[in-house]
Amino acid sequence: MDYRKLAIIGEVGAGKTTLVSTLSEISPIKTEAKSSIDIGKQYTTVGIDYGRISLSEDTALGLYGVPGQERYSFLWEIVNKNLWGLLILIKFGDTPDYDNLENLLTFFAPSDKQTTCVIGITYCDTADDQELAALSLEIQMMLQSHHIVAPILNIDPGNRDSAMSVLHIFNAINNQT
Amino acid sequence: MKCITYVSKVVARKNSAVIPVGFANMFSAARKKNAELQITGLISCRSGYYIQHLEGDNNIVDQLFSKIKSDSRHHQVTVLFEFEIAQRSFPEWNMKLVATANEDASFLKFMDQNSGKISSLDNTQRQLLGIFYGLKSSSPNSRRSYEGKSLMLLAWPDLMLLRQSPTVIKLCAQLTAQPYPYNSLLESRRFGTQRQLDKILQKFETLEILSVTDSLKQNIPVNRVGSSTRFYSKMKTFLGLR
Ligand SMILES: Nc1nc2c(ncn2[C@@H]2O[C@H](COP(=O)(O)OP(=O)(O)OP(=O)(O)O)[C@@H](O)[C@H]2O)c(=O)[nH]1
Ligand SMILES: Cc1cc2nc3c(=O)[nH]c(=O)nc-3n(C[C@H](O)[C@H](O)[C@H](O)COP(=O)(O)O)c2cc1C
Ligand SMILES: [Mg+2]
Repeated sequence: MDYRKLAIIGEVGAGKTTLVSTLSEISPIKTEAKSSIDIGKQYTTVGIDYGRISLSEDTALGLYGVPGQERYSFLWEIVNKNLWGLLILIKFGDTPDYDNLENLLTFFAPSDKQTTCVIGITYCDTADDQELAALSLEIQMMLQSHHIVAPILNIDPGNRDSAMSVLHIFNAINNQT
Repeated sequence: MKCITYVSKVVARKNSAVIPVGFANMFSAARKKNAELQITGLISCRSGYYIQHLEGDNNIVDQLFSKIKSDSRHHQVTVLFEFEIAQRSFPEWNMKLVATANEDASFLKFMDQNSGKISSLDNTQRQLLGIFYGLKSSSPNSRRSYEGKSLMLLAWPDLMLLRQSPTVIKLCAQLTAQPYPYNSLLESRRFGTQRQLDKILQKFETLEILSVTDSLKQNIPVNRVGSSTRFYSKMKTFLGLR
């Protein structure tokens, strides 16, 4: 069995549950353990949005939507092993909580652990290009201060194509030929 | 009408990280306000400094600037230029956000027209202006070749800026995890001809997001093991990539 994990972290209402639902073949709300590679049940009960994409009988990508607030860091512990990718969702509109984001980046340490990291900005439908560039500028400076090289994507978590584009980019970075 | 151009410093956070916290919200609000006040201009942020150019009616510019000057989100506000104008340099922008001022045609034109004023700046002012203007020549012929070098991204470019070109994204992905030899990029033919590849790389250099180092070993980093190959071939099918 070849099983990889994608962690999706973000503040309240950033779109974690929506994104996991869009990508997953099972519902993140009522996970039922049926498949032999399904290890999701234990997660939903503790507040992780668990989803799964089966790539074949014995290959799957697990999706783990985890709250971004530090008081949930016990959940961060659960998912932070051998991550295939770390997706951080940030909502356009509110000033990001940088104290919290920096704690998160210190905890997951994607740069030290060589975990591929992608930033997804949600609620882009409420912004124009210049406003999104302004938010990207803030986020980019934060990433650089943590030595993280990561793309900042605009995503619509409820849209299948948009959600898939996130997987495309993780795949492109991770699958080095 | 008058204009004011200043440079200021982004206030560092407690942990000394320099992040322009709240810039996006300030930008949205200020742009709206500027529209009401018929203020036009430009703003850019680089290396922990802001440059802003404001133009409009004398009183309005003065009032706005005195407010901006005392805004606690930045400090060490240093005026570079302040003079009467007959025409606006950014008539179409209430606050144009540019990634690199040095690449903005209207900004360069404004600088050109006021080269006399640049020469009368003092040393401090000139250094501050130097953060945004007159950076190392970006003319293509003065560029070195990437032959034999290793390349890695320091940051991803703003993908909107580059129109989300698939080739650019592929190239960025390749240069994200570890330094990668230029010659291997070229040989792979995945990024077009040498000219096309160089053009993207040069763009990355002007955006200051490319690290170019001498590479000692020219072999492609290998990090694929058997199970990975299988995983990625299935991923490829799932993503519909041939
Ligand atoms: N317009 C718009 N709505 C969005 C976007 N992303 C999420 N939403 C909506 O925002 C609401 C919250 O989204 P969720 O997916 O539940 O967010 P979450 O991250 O799981 O939130 P918590 O579980 O409360 O931490 C839902 O109604 C989504 O449909 C977006 O990009 N644009
Ligand atoms: C670097 C920087 C540039 C600013 N530029 C503008 C601007 O062009 N127009 C504007 O209205 N406010 C700008 N502001 C915000 C002002 O300082 C001030 O917060 C804003 O005008 C709201 O003031 P008020 O609450 O008194 O109306 C800027 C702030 C900073 C830190
Ligand atoms: Mg949720």
